[in-house]
Amino acid sequence: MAATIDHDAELAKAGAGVEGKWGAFLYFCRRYPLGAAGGVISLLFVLAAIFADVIAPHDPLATNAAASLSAPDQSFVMGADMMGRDVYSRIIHGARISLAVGIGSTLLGGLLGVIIGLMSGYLLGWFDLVMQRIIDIMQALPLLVMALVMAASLGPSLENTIIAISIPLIPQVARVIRSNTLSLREMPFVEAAQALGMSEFRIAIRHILPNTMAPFIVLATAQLSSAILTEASLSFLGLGIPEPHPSWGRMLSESAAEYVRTAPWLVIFPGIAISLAVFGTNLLGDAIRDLLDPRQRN
Amino acid sequence: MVDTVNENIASDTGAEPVAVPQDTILEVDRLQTYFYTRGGIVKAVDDVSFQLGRGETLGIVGESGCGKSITALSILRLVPSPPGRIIGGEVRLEGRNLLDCDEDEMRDIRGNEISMIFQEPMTSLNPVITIGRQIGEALILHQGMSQNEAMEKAIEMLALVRIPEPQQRVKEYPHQLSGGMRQRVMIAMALSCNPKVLIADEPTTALDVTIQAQILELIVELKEKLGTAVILITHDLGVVAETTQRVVVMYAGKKVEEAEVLDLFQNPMHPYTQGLLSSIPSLGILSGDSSQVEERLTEIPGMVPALNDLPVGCAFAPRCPYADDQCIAAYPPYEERSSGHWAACWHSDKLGGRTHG
Repeated sequence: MAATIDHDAELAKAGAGVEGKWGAFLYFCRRYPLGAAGGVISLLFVLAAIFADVIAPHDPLATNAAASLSAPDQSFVMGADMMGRDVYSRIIHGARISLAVGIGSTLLGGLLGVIIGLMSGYLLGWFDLVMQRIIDIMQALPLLVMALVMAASLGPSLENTIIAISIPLIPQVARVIRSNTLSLREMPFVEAAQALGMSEFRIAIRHILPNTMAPFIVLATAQLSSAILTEASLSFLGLGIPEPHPSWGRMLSESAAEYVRTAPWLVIFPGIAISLAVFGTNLLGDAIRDLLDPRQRN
Repeated sequence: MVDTVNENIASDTGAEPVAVPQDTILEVDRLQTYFYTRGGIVKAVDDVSFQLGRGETLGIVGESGCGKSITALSILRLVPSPPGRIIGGEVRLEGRNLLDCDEDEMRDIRGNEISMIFQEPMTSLNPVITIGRQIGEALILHQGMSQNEAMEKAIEMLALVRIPEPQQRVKEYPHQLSGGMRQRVMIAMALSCNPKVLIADEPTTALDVTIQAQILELIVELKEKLGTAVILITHDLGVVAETTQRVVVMYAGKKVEEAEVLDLFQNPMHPYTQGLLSSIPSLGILSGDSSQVEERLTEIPGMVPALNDLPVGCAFAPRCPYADDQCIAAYPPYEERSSGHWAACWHSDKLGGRTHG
């Protein structure tokens, strides 16, 4: 008794008949519904950050003594804080900070990590030895602790926060790129490139680097969410984005102790924003990892 | 008498009249490449000399680990170092010693004046770069072409190696091509700068038999069209017979015999060559209508000696049916035994004239 197989259903599941960019997009949504949800959430935050000035009903920095600690109502959708600033507007503007820090530090940390990893894996020798020991030391410290030390020594500002968060992201990227480079440098196409008269530098950049990009993209999406979370933690501890800029973490830290009982909207809404942003990028990152890793497909 | 025989053979096969090449393009002179390993010095290439004439095809034959590939890599100075080092000899390209060139000069020569095709077409192309850009790379690098010019030349090269629809193919990635097609792309890459010398290191080993014939045909055809001199490294004597004019036989890092291809096949003067030749199944055995059907295919007994522990005398002596005390005691001199036919064996005279069936 062979089970009846619905050929059309099997084909649809495998993505046959998918045509064009739009078709590929719809297929992705059906195949990875969670990833698509993550993509939608991430997109919402990106849009909020880009069009913050248009969307936000109030000036995020404008104080209003009369509205101090007012509960959510029609004019203040998510309530107002102690100085009467609109929480909803501040969260929308906070998306700018979170995205800037998230993308900025992921790119900066990723770039440095790729350079170190590629050089270590390709040059080997003493450079590799020294670099790997430095990375060992860096990896021994938790990301937050390192970011804390960096932020404290650099002082609070947006640029310094990005730098502080990017440094602890380097080791993981460097390790992944290095291990990939180690196996890629033994590939026959590297020998073939040498036989064509290419310089070592050119081989590393043109032939090895593009081959390491798939694992790097996966790692970068994972690091994006941890960078957003680290920024929130730093700001919560008073070391991240300085006043009066709206950072989700700072919004939490300002109100957590004093107002959590009397004005819970001051804690709940920034908390939801942080959770959603991290959740969204994580879901998207997982889907991208599945998409790029053939072994995860089923 | 000998001359007329040669002439007859030449006209029979339609090959060029055989003569000692007047116009030598590449000269390898007493090349020595050693590997310094924990197990001692491995003499991968020991005192190997040969000359390559303009437009000539030279075969280098021998079994795995005899130093064929290291000879090729030594010419391009691509021997992995450490552990490998070229410790002696000269490699002269049009009289210029490549071993004296610095790394920058070598990079100008690689891919431009001397190109190489490798064994593994499946992995010798970068999987994430389109084949057009890979072919174009050498052109941009050596000929200073622009991206667009290089792409046009790449399409031209793909057409030259007879890949159908080159305009489309040029934008494709290596995984979209079959093994034979990829080897064609490798050939296109190697020949794109119109090199003087092409080194083909077992170019057909990883391909199936029908594709092998096509690729060899292509190499021979392009060689004639472009006037490139070819060094064909192989362990397949059938390939040698079909494509080369002269053959160097290597054993355990040393050159043991060199002759015109027909001379070598008819009159091998080294027992190793003789062994190689008699281990090819002859057509009589295959068709089954010969009296030799009952005969077993001869094999060469024993194994290649470890290159870090070579005997004092002839390296082939332990496996050689003709070996005597002299062979074990001293390495035989490499001498010209008949016109244009060199061999390193104490017993070449006994072997000479023995025609292989």
